[in-house]
Amino acid sequence: MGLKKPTSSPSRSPLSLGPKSTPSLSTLTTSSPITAHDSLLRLARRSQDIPPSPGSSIAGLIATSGPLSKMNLAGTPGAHTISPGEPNYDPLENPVTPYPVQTMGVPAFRHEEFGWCANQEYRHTSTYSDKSPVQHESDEPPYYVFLTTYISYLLLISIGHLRDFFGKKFYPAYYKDLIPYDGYAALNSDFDSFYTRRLKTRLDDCFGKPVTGVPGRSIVTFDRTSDDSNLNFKYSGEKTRCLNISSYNYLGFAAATGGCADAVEESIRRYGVSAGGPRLDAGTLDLHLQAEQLVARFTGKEDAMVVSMGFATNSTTLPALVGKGCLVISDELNHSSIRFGTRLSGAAVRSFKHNDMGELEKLLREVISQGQPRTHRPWKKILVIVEGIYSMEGNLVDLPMLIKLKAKYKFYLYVDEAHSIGGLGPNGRGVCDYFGIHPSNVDILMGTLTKSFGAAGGYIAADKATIDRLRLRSHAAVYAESISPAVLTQIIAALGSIMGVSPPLALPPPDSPSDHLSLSGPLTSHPVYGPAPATALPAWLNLPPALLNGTEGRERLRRLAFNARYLSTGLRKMGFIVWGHRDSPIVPMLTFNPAKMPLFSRMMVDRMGGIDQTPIVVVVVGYPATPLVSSRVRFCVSASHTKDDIDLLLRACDEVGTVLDLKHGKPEGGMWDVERVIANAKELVIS
Amino acid sequence: MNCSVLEPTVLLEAVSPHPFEDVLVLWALFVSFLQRSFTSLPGSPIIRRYVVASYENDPYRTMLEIAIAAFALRTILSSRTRTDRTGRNFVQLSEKEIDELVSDWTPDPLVPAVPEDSVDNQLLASLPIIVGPTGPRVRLASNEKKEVLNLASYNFAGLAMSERLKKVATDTLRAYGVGTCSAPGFLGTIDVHTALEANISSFLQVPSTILYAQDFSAISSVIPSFAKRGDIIVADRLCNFSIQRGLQLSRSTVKYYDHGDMSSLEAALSVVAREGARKGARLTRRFIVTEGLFENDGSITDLEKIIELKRKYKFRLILDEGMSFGVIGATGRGLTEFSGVPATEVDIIVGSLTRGLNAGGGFCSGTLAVTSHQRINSAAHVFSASLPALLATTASEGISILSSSPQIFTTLQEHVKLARSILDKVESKYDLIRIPSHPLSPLIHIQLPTPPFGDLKDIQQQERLLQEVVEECLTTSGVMITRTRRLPDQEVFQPQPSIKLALSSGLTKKEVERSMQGVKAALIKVLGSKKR
Repeated sequence: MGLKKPTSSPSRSPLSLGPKSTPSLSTLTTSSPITAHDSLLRLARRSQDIPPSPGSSIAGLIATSGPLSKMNLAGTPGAHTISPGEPNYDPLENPVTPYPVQTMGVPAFRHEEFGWCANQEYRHTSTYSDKSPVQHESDEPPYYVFLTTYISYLLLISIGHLRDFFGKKFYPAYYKDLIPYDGYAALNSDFDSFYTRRLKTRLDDCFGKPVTGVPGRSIVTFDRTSDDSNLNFKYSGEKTRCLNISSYNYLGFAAATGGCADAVEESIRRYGVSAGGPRLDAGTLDLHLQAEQLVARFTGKEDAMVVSMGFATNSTTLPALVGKGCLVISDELNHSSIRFGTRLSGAAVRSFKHNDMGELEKLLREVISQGQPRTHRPWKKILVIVEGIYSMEGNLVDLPMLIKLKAKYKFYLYVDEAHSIGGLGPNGRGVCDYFGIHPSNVDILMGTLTKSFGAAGGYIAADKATIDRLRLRSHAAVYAESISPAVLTQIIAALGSIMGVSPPLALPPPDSPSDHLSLSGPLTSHPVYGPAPATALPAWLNLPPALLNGTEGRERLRRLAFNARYLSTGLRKMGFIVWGHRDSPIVPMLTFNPAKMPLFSRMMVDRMGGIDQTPIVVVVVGYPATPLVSSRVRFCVSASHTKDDIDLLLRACDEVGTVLDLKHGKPEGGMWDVERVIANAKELVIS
Repeated sequence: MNCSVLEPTVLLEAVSPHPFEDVLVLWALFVSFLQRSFTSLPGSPIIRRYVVASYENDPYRTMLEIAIAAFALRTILSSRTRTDRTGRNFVQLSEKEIDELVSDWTPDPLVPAVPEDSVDNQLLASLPIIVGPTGPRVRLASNEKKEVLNLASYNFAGLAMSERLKKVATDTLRAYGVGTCSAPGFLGTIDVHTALEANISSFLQVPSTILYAQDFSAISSVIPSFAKRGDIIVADRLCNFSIQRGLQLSRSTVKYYDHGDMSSLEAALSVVAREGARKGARLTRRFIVTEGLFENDGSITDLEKIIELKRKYKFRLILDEGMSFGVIGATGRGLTEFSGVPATEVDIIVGSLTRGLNAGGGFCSGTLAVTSHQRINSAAHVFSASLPALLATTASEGISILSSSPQIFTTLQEHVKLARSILDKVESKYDLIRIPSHPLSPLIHIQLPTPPFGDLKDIQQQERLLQEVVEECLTTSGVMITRTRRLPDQEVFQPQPSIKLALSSGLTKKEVERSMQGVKAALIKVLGSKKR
């Protein structure tokens, strides 16, 4: 390890981070309530620096407006593609490629939140092609990698036990809460917490990094150090702006500026932030119904219900759908919330090997023919629960096959679209849209509003009878808080701008003939995914034209599709072992050896060597979220990233990956170097 | 040394003498090869001596180890998807039979079909929909022109539509956006979360706090993160639905005591303590789980007594302050302030930021060990996106409002007194209702007297009658109240049906008086006619 952060990084710009006197985490333990108001106001003022809409005289605007004059804009003196090392190279604040402000106007978003990228070459439509299989074959690393991984764990566990053995003798204070004392059993025994204390703590500096501001294209993290091996952290008060390739901000709706944020501000003025109690008491506002109608229209289902927390959407709905005498068949890698909900429901549970439709069919034949255990009575109903995109693997569900099985075995299908809604399909409507399957083939479509739409909470979409029942029977509707009106407005504005509002209808951009609003696919061709009717939106909602006609929404979908495919394919081509589908916005890259996880994470922030010092914040995941041997780095690309950002990421991965010996893949057609990948981005995406 | 172990297997596999001989020869060669390579290893005599010695002393060990090895092999080889196909209960069927069974099987509909005029549909149709903001005075979709008084929403401290909160929410929006797009363990820990945690901690005077993105999910995830199979929980019988789900998920041994009955609690504790004191009994984690202000009937827990008992019997206390935080106590610090007990006396406090503070989410407070354990072990915290920044900052601002304006709670208490003086009369004079709530509770439950008059034994009949009161109150007096909604088929114990009133310091004295007169009139009209 020993990778200390350089005391001053060239990428740390005083402009974006504010003066050092802003309240920092180190001051947060004082007894008086902290409002963080100062820093808020300062940040809020910044957001007004850039005019929100294209001005009439751009040249005049550039000349007068301070921050804009520093930006790399085409047509201004000195505009050129800036390379690392140049004094004005600051890819997080300033577009690397000159932005054609003369033709495109000043973007509504700050470049730090949503990258300025005007090149229509770097767009793609996310749609299923039966030429490539749903489940990609994944590369296996050489055996020595597995061997060293096991040895690493063995070593870590042995050292951990040694430390515990001596620790108990010499530092009894540390173990006070871990062993029985004074007639109380340990709240969390030393045995149960062994993994957390002795293995996870070693890489705790890579988890739960405190951040501030918008989790957009870039994010500001607080610098911290630890003197006691990550037990406690010290905050210097310094902050670093990093390229954010880790938030679930798939469509880039996490923003403090732009049409959606303006709508939310108006909503706070009108509604405040509270809805005042559970839905069934008096917590139903008109906004809830409007949001639900829009979600239903968006997913192509008859009706929908929104819940104030994504996790709770699964955990409180499943008990209302299944119960004793029912069987839930669950993919083995399903999210914790699904397991939580299934356990609450009292239904029997069986699981099948991840994404293996053959195993599922075998299991279905067994359970239907055997019936309930012991009594052999037939199951009341069977609910198969799968996810659209698996959050740790980046795999897509094999929906076409599943639909075939459903027709034969008559189970009900529940698809958790937490990561796929908004992120997949030509219209962004998730896996059904992607595979061209009519949404009526899936009984229940569940998804979160936290990820692609930059809001919070989740939804359940189904036919009206099912939703009516859930409105009365779901735990959340009866007992839990309803969604805040501010969050609802974000949902409405985001969904509305992806769908476009009718009238006016969206016009496809001139250079993308392949783009289409209606759905066409191998199984059905129903125009289910039309625009949102204007009547479904609150009358007071004023969305700018680019959101109303859906052009901006479409742009976001196409940028995400390009970025996802480019990063996934690029990394593979460079020799990294990458799992998951190429169209998935989640791109897991395998590191295998546990020690490489924290190293990779730290080196991406610190950027050893190289001219480019832009820090990148990545998420690493290891056991128990993944199998022991397949520790990984998980990239989440976003529509807010520009091609330059992905280039930067690929170069950084190349630097760090070479040092850490991560290139064990065997790409078809041989390994490419990073510059070749970058030069051939468009071909890689189309291939 | 492995010869003796494996030979029987070889013998079994042998069918005719010829292959048997071949196998033996091969086996002998293999064993001698193994022996040779083993002895050529440096230090092998020491290992050999050690193994031989340990097996000589304990012949059972050999058998045990074979059994373990066989079991491990079986576990590794068995498919994750398939169950015990050889089990006694498994019926061997041919492919054709399975096909027939598959085509025969007709599942129940996903949701039961309901007739048009069912109770469910009536209920759905009668749900109040607020047009515009919520608050003490609202407009309903059923009649947008008329403003009605709202005693159905939680707005105890009157913070809904507070201009100060709106200002903070807007500023936060302009700096942080709306969603956090990440779980707390990844990039979802924002400085405003840390600030809110610190603010709650200093408000309650406890060492540390952890946030949850939804109040309902907090306690149902906190309990199973600590209490596991084999642990013992003693809980109040009337605990709210969310606690019940937490108890269910914990898989612990749950014992209930009669609602609010301290002698029943002591009896339960002493039984557990006696069992625990038996020789050889394992020391298990023991918890008392109860609520501060009971969501199900508005009664308030005798905290002092519980603290005394928990110390005596060495239990830990999990206190759900979901209904009491920001609602009772001189400055809204909840039950601990109300009872004059330091919050550090309670091991785990769970609260809501939605009800008392009109923001969003929930929290759990306790020692650092308590909260840091949850940061990696509590499912609803780990696997959920974190609380939107603007809800966190409004909650922080709400706390600062509460701690600087004690008049909020003096007003609220005056309202409670006024309301109870009117309602108690309906209880004592007309004998139409029963109020189980604490006299100081701003959440007032109204139940039918026990035993109920007339033929109202059935819970559904009682609910229907109470719903009539709710509707009468709205149409005649313009006061929105609500029946306590529950899921009767999923509650562990059936709480009695009730109407609940949530008072707010945002109401004026006149409005409280007017609304209570309205409630009174509706009760007398609907229940009185039924009683006669």
